[in-house]
Amino acid sequence: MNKLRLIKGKALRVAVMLSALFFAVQNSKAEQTEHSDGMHSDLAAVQTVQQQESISGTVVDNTGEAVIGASVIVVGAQTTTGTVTDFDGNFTLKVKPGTQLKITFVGYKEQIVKAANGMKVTLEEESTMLQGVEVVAYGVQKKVTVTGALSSVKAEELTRTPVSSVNNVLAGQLSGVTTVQTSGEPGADAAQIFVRGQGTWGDSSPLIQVDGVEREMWDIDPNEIESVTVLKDASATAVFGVRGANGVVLITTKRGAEGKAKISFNISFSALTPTKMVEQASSADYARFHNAMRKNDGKDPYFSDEIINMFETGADPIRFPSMKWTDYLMKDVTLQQQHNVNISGGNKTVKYFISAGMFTQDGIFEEFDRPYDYGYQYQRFNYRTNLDINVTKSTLVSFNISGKVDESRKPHTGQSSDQMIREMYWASPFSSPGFVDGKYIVTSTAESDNINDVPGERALILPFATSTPMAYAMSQPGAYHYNNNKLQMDLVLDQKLDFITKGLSVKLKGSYNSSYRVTKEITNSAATYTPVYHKWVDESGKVQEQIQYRLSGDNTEPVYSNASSGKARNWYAEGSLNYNRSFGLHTITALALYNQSKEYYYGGDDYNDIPRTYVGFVGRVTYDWNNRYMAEFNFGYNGSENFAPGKRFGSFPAGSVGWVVSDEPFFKPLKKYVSFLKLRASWGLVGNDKVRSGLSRFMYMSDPYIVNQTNTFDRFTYTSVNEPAFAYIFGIENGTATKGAYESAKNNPDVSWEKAFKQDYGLDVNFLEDRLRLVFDYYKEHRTDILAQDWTIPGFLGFNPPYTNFGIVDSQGWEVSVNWQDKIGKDLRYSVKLNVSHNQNEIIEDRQAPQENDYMYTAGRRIGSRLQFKFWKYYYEGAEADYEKEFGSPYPTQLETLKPGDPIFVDLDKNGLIDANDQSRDYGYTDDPQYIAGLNLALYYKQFSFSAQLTGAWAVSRVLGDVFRRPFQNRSTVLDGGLLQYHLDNTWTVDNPDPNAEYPRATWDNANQNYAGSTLFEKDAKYLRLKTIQIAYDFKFPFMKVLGLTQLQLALSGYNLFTLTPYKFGDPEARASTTPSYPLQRTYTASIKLGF
Amino acid sequence: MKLHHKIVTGVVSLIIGSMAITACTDDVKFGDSFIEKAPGGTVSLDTVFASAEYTKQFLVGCYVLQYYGLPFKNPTEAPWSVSYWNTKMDALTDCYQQHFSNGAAFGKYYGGLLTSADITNTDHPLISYTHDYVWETVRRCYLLMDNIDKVPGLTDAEKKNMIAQAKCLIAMRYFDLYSIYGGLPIVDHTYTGLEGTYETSRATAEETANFMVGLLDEAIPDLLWAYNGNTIDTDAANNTGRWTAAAAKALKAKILLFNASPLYNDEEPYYNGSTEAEQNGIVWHGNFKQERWERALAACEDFFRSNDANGNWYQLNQATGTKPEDYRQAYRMGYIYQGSREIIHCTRVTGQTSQKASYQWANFVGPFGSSNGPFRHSYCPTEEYVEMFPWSDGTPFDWDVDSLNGKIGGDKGQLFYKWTRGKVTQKTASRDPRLYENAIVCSQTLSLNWTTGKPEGDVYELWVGGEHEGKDAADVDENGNVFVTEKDISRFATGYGVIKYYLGQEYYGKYTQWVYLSYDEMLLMYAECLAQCGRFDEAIAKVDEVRARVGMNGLKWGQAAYKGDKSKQNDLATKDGLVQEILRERACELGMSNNRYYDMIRYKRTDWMTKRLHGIITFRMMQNSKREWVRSIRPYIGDDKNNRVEEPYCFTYQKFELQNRARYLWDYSPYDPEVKKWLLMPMPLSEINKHYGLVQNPGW
Repeated sequence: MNKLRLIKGKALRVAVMLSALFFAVQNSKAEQTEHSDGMHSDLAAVQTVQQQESISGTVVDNTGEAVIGASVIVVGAQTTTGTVTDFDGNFTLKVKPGTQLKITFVGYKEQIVKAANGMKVTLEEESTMLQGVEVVAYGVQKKVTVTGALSSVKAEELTRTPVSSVNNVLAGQLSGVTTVQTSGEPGADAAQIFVRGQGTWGDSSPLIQVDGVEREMWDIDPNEIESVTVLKDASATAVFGVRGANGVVLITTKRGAEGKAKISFNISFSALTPTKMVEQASSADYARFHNAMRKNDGKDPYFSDEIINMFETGADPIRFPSMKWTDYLMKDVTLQQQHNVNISGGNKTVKYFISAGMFTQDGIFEEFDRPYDYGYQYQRFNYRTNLDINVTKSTLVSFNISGKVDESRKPHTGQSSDQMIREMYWASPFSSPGFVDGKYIVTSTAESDNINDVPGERALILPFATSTPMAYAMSQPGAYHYNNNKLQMDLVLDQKLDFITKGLSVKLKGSYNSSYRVTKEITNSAATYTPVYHKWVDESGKVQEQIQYRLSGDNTEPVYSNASSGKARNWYAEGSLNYNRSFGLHTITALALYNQSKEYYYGGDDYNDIPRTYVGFVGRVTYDWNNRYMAEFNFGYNGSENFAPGKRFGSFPAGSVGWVVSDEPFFKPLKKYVSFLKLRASWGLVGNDKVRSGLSRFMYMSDPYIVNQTNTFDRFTYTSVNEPAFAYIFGIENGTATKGAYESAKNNPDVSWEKAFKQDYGLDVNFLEDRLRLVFDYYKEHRTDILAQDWTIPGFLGFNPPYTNFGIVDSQGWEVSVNWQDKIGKDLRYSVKLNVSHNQNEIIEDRQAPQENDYMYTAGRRIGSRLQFKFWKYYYEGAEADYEKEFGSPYPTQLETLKPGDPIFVDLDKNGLIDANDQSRDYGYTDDPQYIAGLNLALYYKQFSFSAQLTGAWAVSRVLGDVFRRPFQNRSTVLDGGLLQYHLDNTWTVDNPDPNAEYPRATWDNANQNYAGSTLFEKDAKYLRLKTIQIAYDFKFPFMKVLGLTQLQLALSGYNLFTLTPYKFGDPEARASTTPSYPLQRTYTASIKLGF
Repeated sequence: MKLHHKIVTGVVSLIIGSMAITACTDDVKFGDSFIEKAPGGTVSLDTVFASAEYTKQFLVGCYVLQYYGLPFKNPTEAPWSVSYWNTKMDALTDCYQQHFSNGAAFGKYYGGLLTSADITNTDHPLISYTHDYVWETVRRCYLLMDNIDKVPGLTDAEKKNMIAQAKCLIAMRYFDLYSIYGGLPIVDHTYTGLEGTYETSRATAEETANFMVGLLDEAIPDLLWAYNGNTIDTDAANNTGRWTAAAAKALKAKILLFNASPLYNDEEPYYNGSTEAEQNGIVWHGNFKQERWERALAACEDFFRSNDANGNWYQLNQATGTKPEDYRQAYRMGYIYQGSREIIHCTRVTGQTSQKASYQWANFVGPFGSSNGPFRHSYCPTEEYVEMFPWSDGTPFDWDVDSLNGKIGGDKGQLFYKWTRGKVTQKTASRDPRLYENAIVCSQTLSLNWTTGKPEGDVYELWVGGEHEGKDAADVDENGNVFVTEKDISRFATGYGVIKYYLGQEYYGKYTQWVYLSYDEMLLMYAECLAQCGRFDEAIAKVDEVRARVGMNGLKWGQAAYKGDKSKQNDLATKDGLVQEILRERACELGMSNNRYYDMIRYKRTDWMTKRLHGIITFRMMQNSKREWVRSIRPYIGDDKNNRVEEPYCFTYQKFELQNRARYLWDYSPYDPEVKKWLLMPMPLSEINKHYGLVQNPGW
């Protein structure tokens, strides 16, 4: 029964589709007829010319490839007469032989030739317009006519150094792109990307598409990438409608070109070392610092001189060890390999690109001796086949199939890598000597483990040793193995409909992505050993010493289990009509597109079972006259199920204009100096429907109530929507909880998407025969309707205010890129590219709860501004008077009674008292930089090539937290945790009362003051780093010809080789806080490239 | 035509191809109809109140929001009063000291850093005005009342009873704030959030009390006196924990007692009288009226009359024998056992205490289950508290007098236990049995059997170097000099440990609760009201009833037996003296119940705030070869015990002033406004700045 219904349903659908299509074809035929009846006037001229004598010819470029769409115009004719070359570069024109013809095409130098039948014109490439076309949303555009703001980069620039994901090398390559890479964890090191900063405090991540379909960037092998384009302004992104406001990153994969098969091998081996780890203090230094800190508080020291001496001499490394955990537990060097082989080529009918890639990266955690692997590791295998088939002269079918299989591994602690790292920093250096003879040893503070029976001697006992530095290996030993299998397919049909009207084509596209994930879990338990020390005088009067080990727990065999599996699939379909035609000097293109997509198992919220769907209509019309005056109109109309029926669809229009000033006759005299000048401007509206994680997707529905709750309120559950606990236990020793129900949220039926009104004003200018090129953009954005809660309503209402679209953020910035390219002599070519981006934003409205002082508001400040005390100076005798002199207000009562070396906070509200209301958002920077710059150098000399990318960021800061701020902090105590070498070196002490010390006087008593969040712990994290560098040599051996080898390149490259920064607390991009990150890696690579 | 044919073939094959991928599971839809419908099966207000079952569940969901007095979790969300970082009000009294430097008690209160600024969760007072689900409870109870009429399948009586329970819940949550903030905005309906403006200023303290009492009065007729029936809806086994008429009457008495207390009911304002909150009657009635005490007394009398009429369902849990441990067991089971008829109302979280650390109260107070908790959130009883407990016969304890009589240290000492040494050494608890149930003292056994009430296991070794003390309080250096360690993270930093609601291993796997109102508290409230109304002998009789349960003689007997300077004792013949004696008795009877804190503010005992507090250092004394008693810092458990050395019985003691951490107010005079402001908590500045009429409390 079911089967029958299914078949019936399918058959019906196919029938409907077919008739719809047939109707469409019929319709276009009708249109064509109409056209031939009511001819447009400027077409008439062309038609008239065709009545005369006819000559035909071909236009090719210097490689012999046909130039399609080149315009061939009769010089000196009264009306503009001419034609355009066809798909094979051929043209036919009714003119007399010998007539002067001007042949032009974007990106090529203009030529004037005499007409002759069978003529062949070879156009020379014009260096100004390098690659001719630019990838834009849903298609390509002639570069010269682009009026929106976008920047793009070719893959070669990105793949010089093998990285697992191209995210990490985008900043500095593309203007307007900010990346923050906080982690170097294998398989999870992708940087966060922002396009033109953050325009909202909601989700500000850009839309990322691979070959026109939303996909993850880190899934693909960088070797498969042809180019990356970032769309920045409204004109470029309006077609994405509710999804475009945060910018769009388009990744295009490589495709085959006509010609014989090219085979290319890339083989690379890299050595990775952590960029910079925070150093830990030795046991002796730790003990001295601990004693000094107690002394500061007028308390007795914990560590006796004898114990410090034991640490110092290392006489008993088992019971009095001195470990630097980050050194002990992390490898100095790990290996990474990236290999890729790809074949491309094709003939007139079929073009192909086939690629297979492999990437492996080892983790830096030491694994010691365990019967299974549990350190971090990442392996990825990528494959891709891109086929283009010319089914007929006018029908192109493209088929892409790609995927990845990856396996990542991590230790079995319930913790993320940052927490494992934190455990290392939390540990005291004498808590364990690590593994000794295969035994994991923990030191003991028990008197019964330290017995000295020699008369007159006392047993030396550590005062404490609590932390477990090796949580990942010992407390929850085991591992997780994750297997991911992702398969992606695209099928595209591009049909030219020139028979209906010239320049019209239809494109249909379907994509399907699926993935499957299996997590394997390995658990066991591990034994620890405690040294038991005994010293005594034996019968013969000789002093004897002995260390034995007390065993706790035992090593068990690993248990393997299939912990969980996950799956995902989604599909995308689009159909579009394209029109692209020149009428003499007028060029019109138009696009009408419909798309819809569905993502199943859309994770991360309560409605996992409801797929996420989008429907979109896209329209675009562009016009240019002689590549000189350009205008473009873009339109997006999208709908999404996240909003109430009737409020689901939004319209997003954008327009832009461009003017190539340098083409104007009056500009001629300047051409010598300024070879090209284009002005651009765009305005438009784009949306953002991404709901910040943690918010429900369906906030428009009636206020949700949750019933049948069976969880009672305990440590792990909350009387709120997360882990709800609304059951209650009535009765006497009753094991059954009574079910509960509750109102879980107040909803807002009117929720909608964010709206971004964007403006962009740009300038493209080339100097000195295009050797120097400059692009400048200034932009402004007014983002409204950001979802937020109105915290100005009274607390006694008894519910959290519903999310409403009232937030406003304004942002603005500029980007400049300068590109110098030249040759010295015959053999030396070089280029210098510099780009600088600036972004600033300001929260205009967010209805924060009323604050006592103006400086506490988030509104009026940058997103992510920090609320902190303002540090003035370290306290010294007489500071009170100086304070009053400087600030003209009474010296305030601080949080504690200060001693010299304690930080003095500024009483911002001048009420004589430092309290939470003296914390301000006015100082310092945020985690994301305001300025980011890239300098790319390239140099080619004969077979040598050299390239380097320097990336810099400034107006950015990091806040030190946890053990990086406060000495001796660990999870539960502030007394016996870890100590960093930085504290030793940079703390204010009585002996070294440095007024510029990084850390205040060490103290427990005054910790409320000394370790309070203040500008003292906000550290400038600007940096300039050598992100990539490569030296390559192309060998030319005679035997290569024999082998058919066209390329043999040997290259040495490096990633993150050095960093200049005033920031001392690890890598400036990483975090030194409660979530210290897995160290960023420095990479040294040797690679070989072979081409056949 | 040929070309068309090809296109059609191409397109069709493409579409079929893509449909093959998708169509097997999806209908082909375009445009608006492609977009999914709203999630189905979602529950709204209408769903809940269309079902008797869901309506009942909704009321249960309100019970969950009740105040629980033992901080047991690390919440990222409200309620913040259950956060062990925020600590418990008892830690602010003279009875307990917290030592963990990251806790709110240590920083915000002992450090004097609390302000009205409420930027982060630790800025809030121990019961937060905004983040303790008070207003959520109020809203949800009104939602229930507003909608219960239309619920099918509930009888009128059931509906009335549910409404009455909801009213009690509102009154209870109001009381939780009223008792530490004063008068509150009166919320008597639900809001939509779209009202635009909110002009709801704080009502006076009296109005707030009357509002709560009004709700309770409305509720009482529709409630059962106690769940003691024999149907599933009326039996105690399934319903204990629900609001009853007895609980409503007891809460009414407690509210009226608060309302009559000198904090509000006095000719003198507690601060300076000039603040807006005082002038508007929000934190001070503006006068003293004896009628307020009479009204509170009437409420107490009403409770006991009704209890009488209901067969004395509520009563003290009496001992089955006359040994100290029998009394301890009676006292312990009176508050810890869910079936105790001494409990009038309790609140509950989680289910059973367990190893899974779902109930971190137990894990952070001492080692519990199999996990070795870090005890960082422990509450160490002070020497001052321990000295409030009389000797076991009821004679008042006096360190000076009793040490002169040799009753404290030395081989005849009997500070906590008396050793009768003969063939078989007898060890008897020497103090008020409640002491051992409120503080862990030296030589107390690790366990008191849950069912038999017999002391079992090793003894707590709270001497320096002892197994349990672990140098938490003090240590001795090479030269034998004592130094105070008073560790940050320790169970015994004052020399004593907390036991109430912790108990130790035998509490493992038991059902948790926190006693909100109890019969012994009612007796002492009654006594206090009687004393305040001049009926001294009746008052003393009520106190003696409480003392008798733990086998102690009455107040008067005790004072007669006292050997020291009688003027040091509270004069039972004066109202003030008797009331102070009742407050001491309350501290001994009602540990860890917030009542000591309430007493401190109700009676404006700022002197308790400024009083320096102490701990104790205990030394184990051992006889050397010359039979001299010398200090030993050896543990007993281990070699000594294994070698059958006698359990230590000779101790010397040394009191020390708490230094980690000295409380900020200790440097002040009790009359200093800086001290007096602490009698009420600050209202959150963020709420005041919303300008709906919230007035700040004096001094903040």
